[in-house]
Amino acid sequence: MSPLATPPDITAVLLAHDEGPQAGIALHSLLEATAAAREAGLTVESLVVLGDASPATREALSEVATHGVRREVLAGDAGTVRNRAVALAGGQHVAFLDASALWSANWLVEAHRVCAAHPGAVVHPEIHWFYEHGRELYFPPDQADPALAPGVAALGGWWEAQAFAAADTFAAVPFPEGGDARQDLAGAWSRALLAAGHVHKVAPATISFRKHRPAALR
Amino acid sequence: MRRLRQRGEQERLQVAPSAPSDLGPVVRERLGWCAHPRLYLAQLTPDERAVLGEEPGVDAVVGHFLATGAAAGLRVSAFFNPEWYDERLAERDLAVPDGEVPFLHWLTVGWDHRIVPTPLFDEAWYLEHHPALRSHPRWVLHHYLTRGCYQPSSQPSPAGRHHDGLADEDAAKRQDPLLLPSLLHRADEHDLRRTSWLEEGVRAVLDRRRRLEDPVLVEMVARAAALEPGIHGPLRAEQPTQVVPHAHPAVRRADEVAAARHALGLGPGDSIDTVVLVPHCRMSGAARISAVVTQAVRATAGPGSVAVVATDLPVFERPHLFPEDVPVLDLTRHLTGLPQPARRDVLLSLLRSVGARRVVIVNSLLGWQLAAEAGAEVAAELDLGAYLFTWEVDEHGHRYGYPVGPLQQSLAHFAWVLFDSETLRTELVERYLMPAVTRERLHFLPTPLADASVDVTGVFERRRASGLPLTALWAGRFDRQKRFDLVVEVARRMPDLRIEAWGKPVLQDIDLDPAHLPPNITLRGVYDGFHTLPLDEVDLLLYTSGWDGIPNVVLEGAQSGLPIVASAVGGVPEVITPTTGHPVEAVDDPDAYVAAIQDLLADPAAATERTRRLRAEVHERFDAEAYRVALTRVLGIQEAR
Repeated sequence: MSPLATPPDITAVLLAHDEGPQAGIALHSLLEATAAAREAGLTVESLVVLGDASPATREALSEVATHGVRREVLAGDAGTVRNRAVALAGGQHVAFLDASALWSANWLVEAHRVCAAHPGAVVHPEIHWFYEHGRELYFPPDQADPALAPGVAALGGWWEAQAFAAADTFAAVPFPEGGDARQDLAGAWSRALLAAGHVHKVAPATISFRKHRPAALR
Repeated sequence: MRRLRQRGEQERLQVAPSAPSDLGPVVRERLGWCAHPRLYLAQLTPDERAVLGEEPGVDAVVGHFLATGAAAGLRVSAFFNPEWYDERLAERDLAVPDGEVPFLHWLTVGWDHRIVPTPLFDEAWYLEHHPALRSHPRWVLHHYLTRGCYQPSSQPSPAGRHHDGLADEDAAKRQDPLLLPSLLHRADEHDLRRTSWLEEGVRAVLDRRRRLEDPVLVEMVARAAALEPGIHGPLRAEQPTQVVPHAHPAVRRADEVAAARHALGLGPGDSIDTVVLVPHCRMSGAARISAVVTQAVRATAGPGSVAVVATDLPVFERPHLFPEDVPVLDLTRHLTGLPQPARRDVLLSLLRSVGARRVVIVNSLLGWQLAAEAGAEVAAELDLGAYLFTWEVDEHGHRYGYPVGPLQQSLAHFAWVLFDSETLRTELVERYLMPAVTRERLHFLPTPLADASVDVTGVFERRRASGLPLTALWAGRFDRQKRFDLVVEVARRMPDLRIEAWGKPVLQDIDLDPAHLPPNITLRGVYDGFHTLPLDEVDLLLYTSGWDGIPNVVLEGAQSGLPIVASAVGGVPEVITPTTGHPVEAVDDPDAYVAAIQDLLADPAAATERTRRLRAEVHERFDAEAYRVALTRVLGIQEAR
């Protein structure tokens, strides 16, 4: 991308670690959502980030360039890799997809729509669909829900780190780095966002599919 | 179909429904299965409840419901939701006839049509998750009503179990379904005759699940399944759906924290610097220590600086132990039905909510669990520490308890550890080969003597001179630690010795029958403070514990001027020495206690001299002001200005 070019609306980031062949399905999902976004008139940059990736994961994502996707290898713990990915992203917004997950094809379009209406918001899918042990549906709360009292929102644990937000938001409230960051990355980041005054929003009619329900999302 | 009126057939008459006088045995039986006293009582006024007496059974509640509750529209069953029933009937273009009680209508008519009258139960879901019930001989709702709702693992609906998973062995006997705490949550915000927090939450779950029928979402799922067929998780039963905040346990936890904060008397912005965590408040040395800590903090930092939180058992036998202006919270009321780690999380949230800067754990199991499981997180926010008294001993003679495993898990997170005896502190320092940086966090603080005391110095000598019957005082819990079995053996070996035994006459963990004690032992029951005992009517204090720190009863005995014959365990030798009393080294041998008593009898004047020496020593070493200064220095508490 030329330094003078208009930054893309979205950088779609696939974060890969030890998912192996499954990362290929996640990449496929990212490409479908990217295509849908472009059809809707958004400009999208796609980026695959290998963070301490296993050989099987590297193999699964060895030909991403043929799909027009940039590939970066980043070192560090889960939080550090995410923060470095944000720094590499050229888009005005960043959308993370873990290589163990799939987006619904409309995710980038709908999440961008919500973010445009609520600047500074962090956007989550309407439904999390976990499937390894039989389907399990989880509906994360929209912070505007009056039933979600402030004391309850502060308990954290409601929102995933696989979210959509303005790049500035990710930069202003980085993911916790070091130590046990992976263990409660989402919870700690959610609470930091709340403390910094950001709002968690839900994009209607969108779904995130993932094999495992993260322990942090309870 | 005689009693199923077609909707719109006639205008609904504005008359109060009434219960028929004779329901018949079948309906009566169904009513008995469905009745939930606790839900029904929650809808009554205090006066109405008083009529039913304490903890009325199912029959009493059913009788009251039929006599008055039904006509008033009260709900007697957690599994009957009148609006839900109405909706299900409406789907069949039917309605409850005017003047009939909807619940009784369901029992007599809806039941036979297998209409599920509650959002809390989904027949298909229940069978899918409990496939063995497909061969159940009756309607499967009957199984849930009579058994499933009392079993923690039951999955009655797509919204899950409706409770936090804690078992309650007596639930079926009381007809208290495990979901009742959730159903009665925020009861004052709901008209329990019609609905509840739980039912509204489950309806929200069901509404959200219907979102998957939206055409856009149908398409999105299909496209994702084309990439990953595994998303449908074939061959596996679906897991319950969560919709935050509705029906989510964390919401109940947050509300309980708010209620607990309110119970502490805190207004917006109020905080409490020091929180003392105790298991309960009954006769124990730890209870007295918690009071001593509280008094010292209160005296230094002023009112509002300290609170006591009881975490394990709702027992408050000695609330007057604490200063009147120190709030004492029974947290167990706010933990009902919550499993771990939810209980721990409520405690942690409460500590955060009150803005605690330091927490002192005094034998609170929940406090120790918090330290072990979330110690690093807690220690980053406040100063955490614990009081240690003694280890326990199991029936094989092996040591266990807070100074063993729990301390190992938590020591790294403790800003300080407090001891009531130097002995235990020294043992730990030596066993762990503790470096100075750790040793410096371990503090022995001589527990101050009780304010109230009686001086009976010389009583032994006087009573011996006047020939009164030789009488020993024994006071404590009748449990394995206190070795009441040794008292019995001493009594058998010394038939002329009368033993007045004070304490709760419950023999725990020991194989003794109170009906077959030697005739020279008298059980005198509970006592409220050592100074209230008839100390001038006894000759000596007999102490037989198998393990301990520096026990309060020994300190109080020393303070009173009674001669003391005591097992030389734990920190006891720090107080009872050959120059101040009669320590028994062979602590398991009844003959050694007999020998010590005979030694005492041999020279009453020397006994008086020892008691004088002991009394002077304990008054010097176990001083309240010295304790206050030392404790507040360790805890980093500043004097109130």
